[in-house]
Amino acid sequence: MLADAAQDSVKPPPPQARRVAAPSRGLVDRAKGWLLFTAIDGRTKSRARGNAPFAPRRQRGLILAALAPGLALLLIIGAIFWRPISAEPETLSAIPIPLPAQTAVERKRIQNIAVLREGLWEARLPPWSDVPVKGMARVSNPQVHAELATLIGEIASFGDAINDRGPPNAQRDGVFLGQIADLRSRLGAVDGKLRGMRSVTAYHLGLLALWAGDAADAEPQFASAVDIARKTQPLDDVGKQRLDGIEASASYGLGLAEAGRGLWQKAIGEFDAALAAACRAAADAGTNSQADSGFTLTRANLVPLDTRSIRNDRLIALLHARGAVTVTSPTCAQLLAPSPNAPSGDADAEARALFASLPAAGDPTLAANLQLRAALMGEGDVVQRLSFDNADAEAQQAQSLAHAIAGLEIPADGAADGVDKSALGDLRHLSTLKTRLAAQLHSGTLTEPQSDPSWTWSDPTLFANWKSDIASSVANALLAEADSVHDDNPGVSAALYDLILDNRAWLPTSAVFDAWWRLNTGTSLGFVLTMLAIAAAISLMLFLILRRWRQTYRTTFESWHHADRQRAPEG
Amino acid sequence: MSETGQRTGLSGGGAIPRAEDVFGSAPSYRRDTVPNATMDSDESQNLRDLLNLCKQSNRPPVILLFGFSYSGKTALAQRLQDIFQSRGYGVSPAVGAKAQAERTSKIQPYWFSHPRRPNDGFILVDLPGERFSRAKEANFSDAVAKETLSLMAAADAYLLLLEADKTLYLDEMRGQGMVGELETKDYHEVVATMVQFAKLDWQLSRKLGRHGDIEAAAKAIAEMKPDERFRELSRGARASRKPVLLGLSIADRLHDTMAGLEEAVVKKRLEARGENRDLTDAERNTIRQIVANFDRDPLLLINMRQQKLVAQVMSSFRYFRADFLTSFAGLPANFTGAASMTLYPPRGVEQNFDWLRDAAQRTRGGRLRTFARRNRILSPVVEALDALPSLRETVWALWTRASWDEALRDAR
Repeated sequence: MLADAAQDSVKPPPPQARRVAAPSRGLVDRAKGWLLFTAIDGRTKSRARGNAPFAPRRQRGLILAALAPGLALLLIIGAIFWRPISAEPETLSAIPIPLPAQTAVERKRIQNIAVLREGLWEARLPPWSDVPVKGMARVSNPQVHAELATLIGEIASFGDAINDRGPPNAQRDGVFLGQIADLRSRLGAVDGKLRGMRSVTAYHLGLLALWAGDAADAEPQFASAVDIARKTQPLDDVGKQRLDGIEASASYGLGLAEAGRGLWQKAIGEFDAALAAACRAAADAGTNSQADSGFTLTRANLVPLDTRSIRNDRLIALLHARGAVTVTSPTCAQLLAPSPNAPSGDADAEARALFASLPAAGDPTLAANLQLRAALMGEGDVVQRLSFDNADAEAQQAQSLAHAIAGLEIPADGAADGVDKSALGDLRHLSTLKTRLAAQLHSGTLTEPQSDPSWTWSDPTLFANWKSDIASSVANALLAEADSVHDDNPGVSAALYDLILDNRAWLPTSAVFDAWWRLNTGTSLGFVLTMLAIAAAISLMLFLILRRWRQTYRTTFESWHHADRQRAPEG
Repeated sequence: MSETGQRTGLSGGGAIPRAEDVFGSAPSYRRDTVPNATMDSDESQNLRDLLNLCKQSNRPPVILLFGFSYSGKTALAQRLQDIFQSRGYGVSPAVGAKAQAERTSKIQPYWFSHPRRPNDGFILVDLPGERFSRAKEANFSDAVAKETLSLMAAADAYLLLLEADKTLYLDEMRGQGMVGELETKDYHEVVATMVQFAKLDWQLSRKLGRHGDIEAAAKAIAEMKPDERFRELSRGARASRKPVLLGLSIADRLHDTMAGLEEAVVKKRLEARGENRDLTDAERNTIRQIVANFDRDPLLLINMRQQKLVAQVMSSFRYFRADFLTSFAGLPANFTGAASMTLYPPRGVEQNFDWLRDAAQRTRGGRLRTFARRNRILSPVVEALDALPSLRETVWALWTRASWDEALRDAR
């Protein structure tokens, strides 16, 4: 009205300047106008034409405009992916899913048993006596040279006494640590005289630190030795070979130090570097002999199994991946070849591959570690197959423990010395339950795990927690398997979903609902929730944009003068 | 007076005093009567203080009140003083009641500060349009021109004040003999100067960005060719981020005369149709409704009546709005005494000014942005951020309304 009136009050323009009637607007323009008016203005058309006050202002258009794109996205996604499974469920002869190696409950119990937690360590550092001292430890000052030579001799003797082992679980009493501290202080003094520039002192300082269980101190010393070996320019081939030997030994020590700190990824990298340097030192690719390098690659040099995370299996798998060679005698050419199948990261799968392929005969340490691993995974057959006799006490104890966990025998009184009996009992029960569950899966059935009334758990909630963990794991594995066979064999997929629905009493509700959803829609619940979240985010963003736009619109066209007049006390 | 013999004021039918009633008769604007704009020592000192303050990173925002004589600048300043004093602010120097009746040609800064909220302070600078005209005539080369340009460069927001009746009904008023030929011509000049003021802003910003300091920018403007100074914003360049409030002042005077002007318009339309008769009751009712709601759509109204000015503001500035600013609104009917502004504060003026102040603070940014803007390395980042589109820009609202409202579309 005001616009009309205002326009009317304008003087009529001269005839030649008369405006040609505006062309009628297209459908798109009119639709755009309607949409913007509905979403932004929020007043009725008549009030908006007179630019009446914005209160009351409707929110309906704003909300609908914000929701529309999100809803449209959901409709499109539904139209594309909504494919209910109509195939008849097949009868399952076996359920092709793996059981988890360890649940959180088991890992907690494993922490209470040292040999399970740490595994058996057979890490031997090559003593310096094996690494040729000639040329490497030469010191211009004869007195210091003599002092150093004497000290290295003492360290070598000490190393022989402890069999050159530097595992983190070595027995370290006060006398042992005192001896090492004395050697470290004396070597430190010599190192100070030499201004810390000698690989021989750095290597031995690292060695002593590792023996003392001080991995954090050992790491920089070995790193220094590696650095010196890499930066030193050799005069001839023999010198080059010695430098490679130093690098191999120090890299291996560095790897051990990092493994001791739990930095397994870095440790594996250092072990790999040690292998490569050793091969370079061996010079000829065929023999891998000790030659002049002082570094011999044998299984004894490998860090055996660590049951916490099976990372040491991955080291062995690394060797396997370099041409499927036996661990004990790879050639340098094989070791240095590019890896066709690098470890994939699935520790359980790697462990199972090792059980099948790794020849453990004649290597009790490796066999004991693998037995422990297999026992914890519920693989009783593997534990039986890897059994050995006539090994040292540590390996025998580990084997007994593995057998006990696998339920193959009751541990003798002496075998379980120093072991948390309640944790061992819990693990035995859990291993039995896992074996039963595995047998069920092999026969194509699945029922809820039941605790034997005769069993005593160290914690009343332990079984319930384990069952919850295993239920979640089994349900996820079943869903993943059903999803993977969905396209090729919808009948099996439907059978697996039905299996979850049949076991809804103990499987997680979210997994049961997911299975029902997938069976009836063909889409996973996670996918749908993701799409919902995306649609909600789009709508929320649009809502915020439109709200800000509405505020700008109102600020631009609202007449505060008019509102002021209407609110005036005398009006 | 309305035709029914009742005084119809802005406040829902009550009569209100006009500016002339309260502060004496306001002579028409005559350019040749404006005294030469020379600075006295107080004014010069005030400006020097202000420009020195503008170099600080934590200075309060500067709002430039730009308008010609008798457009109500000083009355608005006093109104704002009353409003902000009631909100706990102090104003220095105080706007005296006598100042309104005087014809001011001084550049006068007013410092609004709050004792407990130092960050909420601001500076209102009263810049008479005559100073700008004088600077233009002097080719922006004398001391007065330099001060004017410096103030424009330092300003964070503009409040452009125009007399409502002349802005919207100048030709009709001339037809009825309410303004003379010379005054009409002069007011056209006023609006043209406003347009030039808006045009100059982007050149000044450009020079300021290139030279870094205000004085060098003012010097660069003075050295430009006259036609370059008022060139349109170049294609692709972003408009200024300074918020602008187009204020239509002294709307009470418009309201008193609007019914007569509208009647004349209708009669003229009837004559054009060949009808020589008096207005019917229905037509009078329509006029009454128009007059009663004259201020509902100020942006559309000014867009239809001053297309060139609005088009220039639209192209030069990204944030702007238009509204009537009646400093005397809210006073009781038949009021003849002294105007006690604190009794009936006009919330419209307050809301409009709050919008301008908030927008100025927002676009100016805090200390960090000021530092970044002055830093040679960071300034391109700030410029890039400033160039980004914002949903607060008025163009979004205009585009939205033009998509459904043919009145605005046709006006544009």
